[in-house]
Amino acid sequence: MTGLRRALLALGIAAFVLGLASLALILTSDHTSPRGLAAALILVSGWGFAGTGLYAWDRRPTSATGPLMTAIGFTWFFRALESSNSSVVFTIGALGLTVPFAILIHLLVTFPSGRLETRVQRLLVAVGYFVTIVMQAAWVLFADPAREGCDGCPNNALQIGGHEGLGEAIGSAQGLIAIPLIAATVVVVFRRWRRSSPAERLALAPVLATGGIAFLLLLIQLIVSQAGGSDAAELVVFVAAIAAFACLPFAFLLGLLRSRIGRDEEVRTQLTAENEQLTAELRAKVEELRASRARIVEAGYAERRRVERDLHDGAQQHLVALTMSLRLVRGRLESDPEAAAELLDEAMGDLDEATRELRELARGIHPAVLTDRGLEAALGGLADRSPVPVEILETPEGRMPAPVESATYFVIAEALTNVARYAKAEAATVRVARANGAVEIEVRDDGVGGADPTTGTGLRGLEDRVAALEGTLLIASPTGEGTTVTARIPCA
Amino acid sequence: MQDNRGVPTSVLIVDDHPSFRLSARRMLEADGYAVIGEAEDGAAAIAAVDDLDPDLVLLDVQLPDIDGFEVASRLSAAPDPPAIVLTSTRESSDFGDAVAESPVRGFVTKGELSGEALAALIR
Repeated sequence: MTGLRRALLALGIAAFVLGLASLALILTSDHTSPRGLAAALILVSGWGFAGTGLYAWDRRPTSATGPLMTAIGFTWFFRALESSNSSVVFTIGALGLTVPFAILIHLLVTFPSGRLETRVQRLLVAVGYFVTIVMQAAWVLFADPAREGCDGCPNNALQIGGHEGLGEAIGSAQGLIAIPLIAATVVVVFRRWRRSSPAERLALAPVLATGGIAFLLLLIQLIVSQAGGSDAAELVVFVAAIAAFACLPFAFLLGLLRSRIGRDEEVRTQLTAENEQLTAELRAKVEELRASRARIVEAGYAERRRVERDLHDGAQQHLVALTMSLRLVRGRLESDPEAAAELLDEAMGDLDEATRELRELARGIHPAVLTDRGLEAALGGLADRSPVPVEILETPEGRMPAPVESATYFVIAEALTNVARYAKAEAATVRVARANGAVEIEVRDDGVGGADPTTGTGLRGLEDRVAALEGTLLIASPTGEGTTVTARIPCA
Repeated sequence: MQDNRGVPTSVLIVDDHPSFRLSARRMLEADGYAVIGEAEDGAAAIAAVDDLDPDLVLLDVQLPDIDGFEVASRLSAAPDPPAIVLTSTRESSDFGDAVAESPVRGFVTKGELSGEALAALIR
């Protein structure tokens, strides 16, 4: 058994003993009436608050709710001391009589956390303790039980005689402060109810309903008392209020248990929300992948169309021209050898041109130098062919996996093509480095900037190609400040 | 190539590749045709036919604006249209039924183009 549990058990035994002692005091009282009702109300409330408070304390040791409820239970037994026939015990009872109400305000405004968090909460609780402890003590000093309507009560052991009027005035002041205090407490709790989530309301509902009724009855009793209503009416309302208070500990316990249920509900709601968010993100990712896959397929078709068009417009035209030239040469070899020789020169020119275009085309499909001699040599070739001066600042040592090497080459080739076509740049630099399990690519130019990556299919196609390798491609192109294409492709 | 009245067949060459137009012009002129004009796209071809009234239009299928089939249809819709022969680096079969359904005399690949081949088609 833990230390806390042992202490709680000891408190439980003490509450039980105090209850029995209270019962004995009430049953032997010569001024409490009706004794049965008084005993029942005191025991139900005292044991109820102490028992449920100790249970709550055990279940939620970090919350102040359990200790506060237990304190209400213990201080409630002061009420029984008032039944004592002994003047001293009776006076002690009178001193502590109102303390449970202050603790109850403390409990209500801080439920279910038990923490004083706002200035209003602290003010209400401070006023509550002031009225029920300080003012009550002041009242005891001057109050005469006989003048307060208890003819058979023992003498007030602390009474300073001759100032009964002052005692009555203090009592009235207590009542006058208690009315707005209780009303303010109800307002604070109600406002918290309105701001609460459904889960929090689950915890607040039983407390608010029972506490609200109890305080309302207490308020009525105070108003009746202040207005000088009949004793009988005051007693009826007071008994009803005390009966409602007797139910309060169970309402608090129910609220406390519900707050845990509410927390579970909150966790479930939060998990559901997170789950929905993850599902939405996953769906977006799938959609993005589907779109990217479609673009890759379309890029493949577009590439094949481009190759066909390049062949048709380029090498094929030169070969057709070559065929026709050779046919003409054949017809003129004997009749006009000079013209035939000219035509042969032209034919050779067409053949050279066709060969050059086929070489370009093949390089566009896949540069052989990249496979044979690696990225550095391939980039050197790109730089040599670029109409804009290109400086290769850095290339990684050793070979990278073929798909990564190929993607790196084409990112740089496309970026340099764009530099030549659109950037109006004086120079460009290329940097390729391996770092942190990835290859980092940067192509920078000093041109006009203002490139829009959303237009044109070249960079978009490269973006998909890089994304297929789990990489990223970024283009920074502020107007007038050149363009920087950076890509990062994972490469273990 | 001369018709039965001794007048050379007049030809308009329609192709967007200057190298082909030059080669075709040389070859056809060597074979006795009179190349009276060249056009590099469909619109220019229609205008040139209107202006020059050629006997024969050697018409490339793939043009930058409208394709050769469409040009052939428009030319054939006019009264007394010229004979039209389609040409391409591709085979006729690459165009499916389009060549057969087109109002033209025939089709010759660019690689096989010659005065004789044209004469066989427009005879």
